[in-house]
Amino acid sequence: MKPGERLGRLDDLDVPDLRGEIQRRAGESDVLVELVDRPRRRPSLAWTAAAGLIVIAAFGLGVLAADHRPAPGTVIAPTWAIRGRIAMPGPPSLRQPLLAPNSSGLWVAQPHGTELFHVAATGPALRIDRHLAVAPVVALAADDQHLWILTADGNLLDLTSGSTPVRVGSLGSLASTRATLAVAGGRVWIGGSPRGPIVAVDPDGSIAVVPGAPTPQTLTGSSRAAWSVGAGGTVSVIDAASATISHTLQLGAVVDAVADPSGLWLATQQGQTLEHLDGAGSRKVVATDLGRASSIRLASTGRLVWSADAQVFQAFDLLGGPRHTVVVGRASVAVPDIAATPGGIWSADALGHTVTLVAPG
Amino acid sequence: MPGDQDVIEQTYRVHAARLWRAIRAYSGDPDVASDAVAEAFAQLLRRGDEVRDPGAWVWRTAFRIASGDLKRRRAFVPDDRGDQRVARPDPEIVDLLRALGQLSSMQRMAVVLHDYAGFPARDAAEVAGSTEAAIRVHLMRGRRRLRTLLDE
Repeated sequence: MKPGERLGRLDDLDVPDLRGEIQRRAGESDVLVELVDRPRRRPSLAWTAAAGLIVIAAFGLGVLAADHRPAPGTVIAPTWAIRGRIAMPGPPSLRQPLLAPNSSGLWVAQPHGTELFHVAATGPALRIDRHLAVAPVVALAADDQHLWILTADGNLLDLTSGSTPVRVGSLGSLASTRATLAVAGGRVWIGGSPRGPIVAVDPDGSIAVVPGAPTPQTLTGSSRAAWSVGAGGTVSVIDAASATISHTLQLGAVVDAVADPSGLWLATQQGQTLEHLDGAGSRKVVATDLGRASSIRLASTGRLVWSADAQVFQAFDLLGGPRHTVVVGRASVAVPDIAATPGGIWSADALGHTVTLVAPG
Repeated sequence: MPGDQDVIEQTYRVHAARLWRAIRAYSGDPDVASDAVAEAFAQLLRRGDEVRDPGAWVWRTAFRIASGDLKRRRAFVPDDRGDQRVARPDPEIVDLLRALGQLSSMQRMAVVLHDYAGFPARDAAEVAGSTEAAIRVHLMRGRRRLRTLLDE
């Protein structure tokens, strides 16, 4: 018997309920959190009637339309809903899974994992329709024609054929760096590699270093520009054709950013505010109440930008919003990473256990 | 958002049991496990929104608390009290815990995090505050030693 199988016997150990002790210790620092199970009482008839009146009144005042926290499972917008969930194979990870959407589904890998899975949205349920074994992967990107992976040993591979990886370029070891990958203007853009803070790799393998670029925390691309968000909220707009910085702006703390044909969407102010930058650097505040989470994630379908916290997905456009609100429930203990295609919003929970698709019903 | 009560509760439900058993196996002492897990979650509550990924944070913190506790005691504490709730301790688990106690601290941590908790070597290294290469070496040696001890 393998050690791992023997260690599985540890699951037979009884675990004490520590919630009371945790509450006691947390209470010593005056943090009022009630971890112990709350008693659930059946509401009285009078209370039910009173609650009903309150709900009716709230509808009348339009209060519910502005409520960001409806009950899990509630779909505020009739056109978008949870279309499916699927449990992913493999062990859990402490890192957010890597996601790369294309028109037929979503590529998923664990950071430094050696397996790639494609979750398809065809048919009535989500299913894994492709599974590839790869070298340890640190970043993923895809479009309808290509799948690129960046490996820990620094190779950019094109897996378009699915079976014969083509090495597009070599960038030096990425094992100890946090590399980012984006697609813009037909080139693959890599941030944080030993070849330079930001480099563009052409299909023929030629590599162009973007002069003067800071190392990005977020790198995202559209058809004409690559956008880099560095530490301290420095946003660089990079012309995709010339691989040079056309604008630089200082925005302060940026929680997440995503590019689409209209420009760059940013979650700022600790995730409370949604802002938009166009290609000329013009800045607009679109929404000021994204929710409560401090680590909002963004994804764009091209027509709508979606924000996600651990419980609620919301869609906005340049005129504001939310245009759609979908409650995804409590599937995640932390904010899920999300990715968008014109057909839907994909999310993966923080442990990489579950992939969810939210799409028009 | 970690400061959110629902998220804390969910984090507890997802991680607490596996974390407690992992530290129980690492430390050999149910009291060390209970103290480390309770303190880690209490600190998570105190820190609130500062913690972006509560699951990863609570694993790192609990193992550091347990590791510090073991260093103060300077020894693995073979203790079968984790099974005191059952009338007759499972001899296989008792043997397993005793065998784990004969590994070095890092070997034990690597084996428990990788082979029990199911973390890849890179994540196990993050929890252990070590490097992936070092964890792989400890894992290989720990597995070999554990196999020998359990087969004796």
